[in-house]
Amino acid sequence: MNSITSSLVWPDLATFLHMGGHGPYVWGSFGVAAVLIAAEVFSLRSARR
Amino acid sequence: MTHPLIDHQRPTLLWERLQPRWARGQARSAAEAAPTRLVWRYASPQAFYPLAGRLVPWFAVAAALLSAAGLGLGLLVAPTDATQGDAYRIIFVHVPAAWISMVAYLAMGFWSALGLVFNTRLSFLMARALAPTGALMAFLCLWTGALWGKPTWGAWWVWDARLTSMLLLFLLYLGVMALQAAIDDPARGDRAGALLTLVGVVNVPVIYGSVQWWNTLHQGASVSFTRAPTIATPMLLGLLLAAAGFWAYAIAVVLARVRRLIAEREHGAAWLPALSPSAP
Repeated sequence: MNSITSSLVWPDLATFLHMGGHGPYVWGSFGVAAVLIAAEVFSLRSARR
Repeated sequence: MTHPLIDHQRPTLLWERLQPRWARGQARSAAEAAPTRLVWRYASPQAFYPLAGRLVPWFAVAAALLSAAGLGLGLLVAPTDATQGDAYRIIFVHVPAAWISMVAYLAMGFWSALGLVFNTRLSFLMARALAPTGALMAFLCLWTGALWGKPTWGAWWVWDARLTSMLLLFLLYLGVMALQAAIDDPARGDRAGALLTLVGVVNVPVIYGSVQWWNTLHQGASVSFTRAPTIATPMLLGLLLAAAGFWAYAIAVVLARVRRLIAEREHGAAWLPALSPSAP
């Protein structure tokens, strides 16, 4: 476990979310990607009857 | 004379006369049929429907595992970029989405050409199934590109060769889907969509070459077939894993969608299992 945490580049969660001041850009990218992919999967599953 | 691959209700078109005899459903010798049998077996919706159904879960699991590994590596382990800071981490969505949107378009062109030449039903359905996922990936590429451009270039958007040709790719996807949807007769919609797809294929090499051919704001490729990688190992590994995960996702979704299209198109066919969530 120690070796896993030591290989991470972030000291804590807040720094991770902050992304060196680029948080909104990074999370805006990953977030929209996650939402669109979830929407595509959901629409395919709901169409399968 | 009927043949399972051919829709005999369509009028005979000029290019169909160029097809090999066996593709037109005429008698063929055993020797002629042997090497192509496996490919053509799965060119029939009837054979492909269950095969696609068996493949979807495998690609879905691979997509989840590879994406988790790639994005985990990219977000948690890869070091901060010296010049771009942490905004560069957008690359782990941006580049896989860009690759898939371009290759999916080429695949759409391939199936469109195959459908137009051989008049095979499944080819057009493959082309139709690829379009929404390709459009989604093209949109993601543009969206993440804007969010990357703002902190690194100071602009959400510039009318630069790479960005403009990528926008054209997204619009081509939308145009093909709109054209297919606008024509009531599915067979005519297939052909019209296929023709527009083929016209747009020329745009893909333009996107690929744009950063070398023109003086663009967009950076050159970080990963290339011809050069050693210029980025740190965890970055590269994360990017390749994320790309593989997105690939598996795209394949799973397209196979699932082509099954739905087959079920719609072949509605009422005797071979089609009663459609229920448990059907294979």
